[in-house]
Amino acid sequence: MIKRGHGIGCMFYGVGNTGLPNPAAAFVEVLADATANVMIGAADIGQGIATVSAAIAAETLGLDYIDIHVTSADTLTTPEGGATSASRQTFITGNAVKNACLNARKELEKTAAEFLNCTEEELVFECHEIYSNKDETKKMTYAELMGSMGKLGRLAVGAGYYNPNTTYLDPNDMSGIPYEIYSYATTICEVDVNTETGEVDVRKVVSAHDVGTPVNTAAVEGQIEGGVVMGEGFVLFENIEVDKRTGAIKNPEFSKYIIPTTMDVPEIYPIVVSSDGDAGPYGAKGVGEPALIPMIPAVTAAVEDALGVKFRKLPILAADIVAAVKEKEAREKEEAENK
Amino acid sequence: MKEFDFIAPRTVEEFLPVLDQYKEKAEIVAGGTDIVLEFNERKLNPEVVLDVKKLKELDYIRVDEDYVHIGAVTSHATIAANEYIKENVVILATACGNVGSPQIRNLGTIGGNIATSSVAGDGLCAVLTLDASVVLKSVEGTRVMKLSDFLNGEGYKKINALKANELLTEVFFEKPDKHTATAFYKLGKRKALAISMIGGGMVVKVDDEGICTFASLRAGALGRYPLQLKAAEEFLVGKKLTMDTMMASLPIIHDIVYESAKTRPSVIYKKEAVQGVFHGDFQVIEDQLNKNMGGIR
Repeated sequence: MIKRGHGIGCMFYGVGNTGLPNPAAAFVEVLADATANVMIGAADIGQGIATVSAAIAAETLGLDYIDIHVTSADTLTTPEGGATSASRQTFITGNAVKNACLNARKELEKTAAEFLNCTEEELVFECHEIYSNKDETKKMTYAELMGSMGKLGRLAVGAGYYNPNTTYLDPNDMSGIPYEIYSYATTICEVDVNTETGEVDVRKVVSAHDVGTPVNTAAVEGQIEGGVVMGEGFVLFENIEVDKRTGAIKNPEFSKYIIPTTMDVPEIYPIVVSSDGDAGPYGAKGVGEPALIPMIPAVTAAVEDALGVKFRKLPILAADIVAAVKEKEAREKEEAENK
Repeated sequence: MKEFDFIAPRTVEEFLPVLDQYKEKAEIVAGGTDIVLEFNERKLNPEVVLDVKKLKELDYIRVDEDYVHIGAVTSHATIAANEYIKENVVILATACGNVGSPQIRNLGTIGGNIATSSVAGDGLCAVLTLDASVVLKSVEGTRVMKLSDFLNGEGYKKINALKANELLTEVFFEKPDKHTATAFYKLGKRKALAISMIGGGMVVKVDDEGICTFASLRAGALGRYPLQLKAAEEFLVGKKLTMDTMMASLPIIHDIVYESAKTRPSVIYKKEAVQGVFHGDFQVIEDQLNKNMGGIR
């Protein structure tokens, strides 16, 4: 029999390492052709920190995204970035890039203020132009600015870093400030469970994430979708089989360690919720792990809702489902007989 | 992988003498989806590898008056996409259409599936349920035998009747008519790229009154070869083939599977899941009989 179930999972998640300093740095140089080189230590393992860094640098310098060349995770040349973990890189490396760009801007601002005959504070850097926010007729192009810089023998270089505002946690009661910002999310999931074979068809998933201000909405949606599939695998497929005698892993290959294929992916509706991202760069927060986390209780709850039983361990495999169904049937039969 | 000579004849006539020359020293490769892994892991170290994929004359699906003939190097993808098979031999279209992934289905062949005689071969389970026969050719001549006899045979690899100088060239089975319904249900650990935990094949024939005159039920991946559910077949024959009748065979199927594997811990799950697998088949069978015969009540 096919039984349908629904589940909801909610979470809040502290971005960055827990109650520990975890800084990241960036180097920036604006070049004579009005492009910029950005160097970050953060490793882009597909989540898109290079893309995010380019967008933040472009926003801060008044250039376009395509003008920014990012070098990342080259231990010979790039600065400390810390681990790509804890959903921290957009927040921490993003802020480092912003700070580095603001430092590189100092020399640009000095030069532009002299050229436009205004104060540095009233300057706006936007879309390859620099203008005064008090008098918009006072403006120059980036090419003109870099020309002036060249004539004066000035270079626009900057280094910056960011360390989240946290405290060490009290070893006795764990009090303190473990994280500077938090991400929030809710995932809703619909499943069909075959009570005879134990097969689970994850049909639809809606996953809404408060990411502050999204730097790149398509990338955020991509991360949400990836997290949903990973969460599905966490609950229904991924199973490390250990030899109880030797401790060896019995299925260390992808033919035996089962993860979802494209065919197993449900319909996914990602919802990107914008909010005030507080200390994040231009209000951006992390979504890496949050994409995964609420999916796990959502699928679990959906399977439990379908069957009316609770599961105490993950993954929930087909054999576990059939065993639970049988156990419930036996229990109900016994109860009926006792009446 | 150890070095080997690779020979790819273009015709069966060319192929057979070469095979006869090398016999056990040669391995035959079709799609290579199973055997290349064994080369890589050095479980097999042949001196010569003979490729049958160039034998275009063995890539065919032919339907004549009485039989459906499928050439040994016909790929799973070709079979699954064939209009006649899709319409009339649902069991085979479903089984071949769910093997591995599109890449594997494009490479893997029905002949390879049968000759490898793998425990979890979906194509093998389907043609065995259809009570197919196979054609084996060598320089000495041609042998035709029931697939069930082929699988029980003591050939050079001890897994089937194939002799070291023989090539499996064709599988054929009786052409299903409007009184026949077939189904296959694959139970894997996920929806694609999954090895069958159970592959349930079912073929039935009914008369004009809807009385079952023939039943063939096989459960793949449960034994060395797809397990024949004989008591369930006997139960169905002679009865009106309604959903209720078919569902009444599930406890029998449960008992057969339990008896066949009661020493293995996985039997706890499989004896239950096999009922879900055949329940899935029953639904497909019921739909086909409804479509072909306007329903059985």
